[in-house]
Amino acid sequence: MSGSTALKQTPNPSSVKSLFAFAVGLIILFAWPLFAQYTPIFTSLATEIIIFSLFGIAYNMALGYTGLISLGHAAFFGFGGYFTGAMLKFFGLPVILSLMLALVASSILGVVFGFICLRKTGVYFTLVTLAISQMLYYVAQMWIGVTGGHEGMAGIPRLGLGQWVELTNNPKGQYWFVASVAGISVYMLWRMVNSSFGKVMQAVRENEERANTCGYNTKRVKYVAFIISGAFSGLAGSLYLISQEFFGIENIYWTMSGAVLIITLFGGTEVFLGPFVGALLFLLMKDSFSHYFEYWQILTGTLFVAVVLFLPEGILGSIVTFFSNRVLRRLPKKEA
Amino acid sequence: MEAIIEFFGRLAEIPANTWITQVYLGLVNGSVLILLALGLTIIFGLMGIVNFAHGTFYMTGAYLGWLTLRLTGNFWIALIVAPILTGLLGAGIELTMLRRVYNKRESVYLGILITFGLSFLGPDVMRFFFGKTGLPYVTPALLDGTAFSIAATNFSRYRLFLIGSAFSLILLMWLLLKKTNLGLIIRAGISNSRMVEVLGIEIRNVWTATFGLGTALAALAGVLVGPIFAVQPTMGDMIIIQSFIVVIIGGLGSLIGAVISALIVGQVLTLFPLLPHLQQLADVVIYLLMAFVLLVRPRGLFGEEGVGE
Repeated sequence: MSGSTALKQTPNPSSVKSLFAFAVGLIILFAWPLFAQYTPIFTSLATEIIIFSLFGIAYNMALGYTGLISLGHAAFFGFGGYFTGAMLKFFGLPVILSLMLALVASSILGVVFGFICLRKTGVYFTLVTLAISQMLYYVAQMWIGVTGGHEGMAGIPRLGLGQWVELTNNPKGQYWFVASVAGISVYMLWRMVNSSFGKVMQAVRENEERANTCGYNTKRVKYVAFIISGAFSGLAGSLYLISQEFFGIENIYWTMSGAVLIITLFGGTEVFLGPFVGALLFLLMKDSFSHYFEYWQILTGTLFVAVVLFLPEGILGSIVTFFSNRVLRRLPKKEA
Repeated sequence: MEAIIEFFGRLAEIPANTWITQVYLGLVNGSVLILLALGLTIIFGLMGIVNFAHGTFYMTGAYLGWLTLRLTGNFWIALIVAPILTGLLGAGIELTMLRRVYNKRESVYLGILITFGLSFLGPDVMRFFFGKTGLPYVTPALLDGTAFSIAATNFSRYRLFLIGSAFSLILLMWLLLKKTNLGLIIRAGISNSRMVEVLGIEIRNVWTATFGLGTALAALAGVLVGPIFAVQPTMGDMIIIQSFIVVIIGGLGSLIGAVISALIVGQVLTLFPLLPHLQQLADVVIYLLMAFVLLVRPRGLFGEEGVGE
């Protein structure tokens, strides 16, 4: 699983068409703040969508690609946020350095967390991740000196990238910063999924026993996937702290794990960018519906159950399947 | 060493009636947890579904109980009507939603997801109909006040009634499972549902009945705690995690394990805050207990091999 083997696998048959789509996507992504005010997705909401897309895509490393249903990722998200906050607030470190340290620290949390939880399989795994992350919630609740307890973590100093870019009270600057960090992270995850290691992850999801028989150390594969998933979930938490300039305790409560599960499944676990669609939908519902109908969770929950029952591949997944089926249906005709 | 002496010194200073009160309250906690954990563990054992919506059914029961109490003014009617209605709701959900996913490849996960979705929308449904704030229950006159006192400790009648009801229900469940035909089928289904089907028994109907029964138990717990705790939309969020811990410690699918570990967890939750210097850890300690039990006995106290793995 060395770097060189990973590089051999080029992502996507990079036709001119997909390269074009990629470029257009990137341009839209970075140009969004310029015309955000004409759309329902304001810059601050767009920032949130990007952060939760990163969270969802990182979470999907465990859920969709390795088949680990974790309900403990709130621990990573919350830990990443609190850790970055502590670095900025108490040590006065620069933003980029804090983010890097948060990524490392979240990986270490993943090492410990995974060591405990991955001794279990199946339902036990899910329940133990839930329990351990709840334990961290109570730790955060007690450790008021750092986390602020129920009041939340406030008093983050003014942030900027050197003297050039101001982040505090600057939604556009925050957006571009978050989009860049998240973009690089998502690209790294994309390379990982398409590496030979990514293929083994999927083999473990499909049939762990068979992958094991093929000579892969499936336990280690799951462990590494879980750590990477946790590390980038932590980074998402860090970005959330930076964009909100505040971090509430609900970010480490188990309902946050539930939210990321919903986001990931909405979009579809088998498509890499599925969680992006999920985050878009989830946050749009939360932000827009709640203006008209306060009890937005009723709609989101109903839609979620409907998606699980009728579109098990998720929304983006179903769209992809629909179009690829159409292409497939057309193909034999040409041959005939 | 001095710290230890001081620890026990301060422990000894706690008056006896405080201990008795806490044990009594722990028993109340344990009884509520038993009612929830029994349903969870039977549903899991039989259908392989981890019911995340169990807390939601508990809350639904409490609200329906409040509504019945408001309409009829009679606590006893509420105590019967609310669990029946919730049980029917549970059976309906099993029939229309969960039944669709049993045959699919990853039915365990789909079950988690569906019930999780229900638990996500549940609190907002209640907020929509009943408002955001907690609702008070009136303790029935018959159960108001103190039953008896031991060593200057008052035992409230209502809490005694709650403990009594929980244990009578355990007895009833035990009779149901051991002495009736349905119980025989449920137990057979827990150990091998395919075999039960081969023997010509329509196990799907048993699943629906069991899911209804489990949710009715949760709803009953909801009504029972009404007069003690406030009835509010988030009341299920907290207790569902505690019930999961109870079920994990007891062993998934084990009935006796659920009962024993509920009693243990109930005591830990109320006694731990008494310990000097360690009060702060009270919220965390049941998680530590769970981690410890899983390290020593990976399948919980009474779990069987292969269940839930």
